[in-house]
Amino acid sequence: MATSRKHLREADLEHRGWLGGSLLLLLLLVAGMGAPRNWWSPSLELSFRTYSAAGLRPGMAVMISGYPVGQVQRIRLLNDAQVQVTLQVAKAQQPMIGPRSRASLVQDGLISSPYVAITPDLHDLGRRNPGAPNETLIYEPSPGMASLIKDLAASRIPLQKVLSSSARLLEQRMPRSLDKLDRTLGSGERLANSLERDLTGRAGALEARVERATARVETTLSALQSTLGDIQALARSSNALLQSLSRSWLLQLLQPAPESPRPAPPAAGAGPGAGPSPR
Amino acid sequence: MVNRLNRLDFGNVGLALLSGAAVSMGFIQLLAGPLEQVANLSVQVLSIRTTALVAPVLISLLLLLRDGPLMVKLGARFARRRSSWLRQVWRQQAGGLILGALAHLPYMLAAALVAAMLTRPELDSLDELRFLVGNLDPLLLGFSLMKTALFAGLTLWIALDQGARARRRGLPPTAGLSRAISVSLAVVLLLDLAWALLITPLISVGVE
Repeated sequence: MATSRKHLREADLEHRGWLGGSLLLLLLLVAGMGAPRNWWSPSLELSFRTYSAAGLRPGMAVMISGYPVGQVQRIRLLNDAQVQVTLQVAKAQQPMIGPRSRASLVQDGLISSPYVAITPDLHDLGRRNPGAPNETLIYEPSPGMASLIKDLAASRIPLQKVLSSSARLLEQRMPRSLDKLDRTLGSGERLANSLERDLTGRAGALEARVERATARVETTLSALQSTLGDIQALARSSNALLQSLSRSWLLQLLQPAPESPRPAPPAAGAGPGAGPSPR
Repeated sequence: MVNRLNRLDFGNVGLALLSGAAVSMGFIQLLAGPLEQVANLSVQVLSIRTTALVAPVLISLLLLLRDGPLMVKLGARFARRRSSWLRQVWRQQAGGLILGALAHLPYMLAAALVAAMLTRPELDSLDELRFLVGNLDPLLLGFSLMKTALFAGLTLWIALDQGARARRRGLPPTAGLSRAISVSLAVVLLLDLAWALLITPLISVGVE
């Protein structure tokens, strides 16, 4: 009996332990779910109205400058066929949201999840009263696929016009331009050929002239060389003649007598001009 | 013996953990294998939500298979004599059983979360766990808890009723148990189907 009671007590203890564990897990789950939903931090509600809730859904992230600050809380269809979307945003980001802030649906890339982006209003950031939140945002619908296709269709007609006029222009002008270019190229080729021929003839004559001039220069040089030899021989013979003349007695006679030796210096007291002046 | 009906023990919790991990892991392998889904985090979130969706049915089945005989026996005793003591025991059993059933759900979800995190890891373990828990829908969790309590109550009521009927007809308790299991399964699955058709689309759309 005592053993049975002991077993019951142990089973009861185990039961309570597992119950406590379950409760703890549940609390952790709730805490984990609440963290990204700002359950445990003060938040504020913002809302905007739009004519289409396409692409919007509750739980969708709300971001400022790409940073998650909250989520879409609820979407409600109003009596005037507009849709009111309520956002839950962390209160800490309230100063960045002002009257110039805009909300828009954004999707980065083709397969990423869309989110609601709020553009920050940094005008008068310091002077804005934090106690008076602007609860209604202006929603700027992002261009959808349908509007993109419509724009594409609208731009197709002018594009087609431009293309057709370009084709017409090419069709009319291009053959003429090509013909002109062809003619220009032909005349250029002819000019080049005549130039080549002319240059070939003139080059021969020029070469002959250069050869003739070279021969003349060579002849002149040889004559000049012989003349220089003659001048050299003449100078040599003139020199020999002058040397022989300088040694002849006739010229020695005509030469003045050599100077007498210098007299002795005058005695002391003798005045200047007493002796003969040297010549 | 009757007093131990609503006790949670390692066997109960172990089965809940095992079934949660099996559902989550199997679902991820199915999506990542034959269906070639490569967005691991999306697949994990989907597996957790699926586990939360099927958990009430699984928990009811676990309770029925484990405590069914005792519930049928209690029903048979009710049919024999309705005393205040028995009524008190019944209240205790009902309350305890529903509480025990609810206690299974967090274990099952925790096992599913850990299994999803380990099957196709994408981020750091703790970050991934935080991400998966953060993506669990509170409404879905609330409805799962409600469904679990409802299904557990229904299972208890059907088992007690079938036990009493077997007693009144002079059938053995095993016949009552067999019928209780089949009826409980049918009722729970039909309710789950109705729930999936009526309530779940509202959760998915989420538009008020």
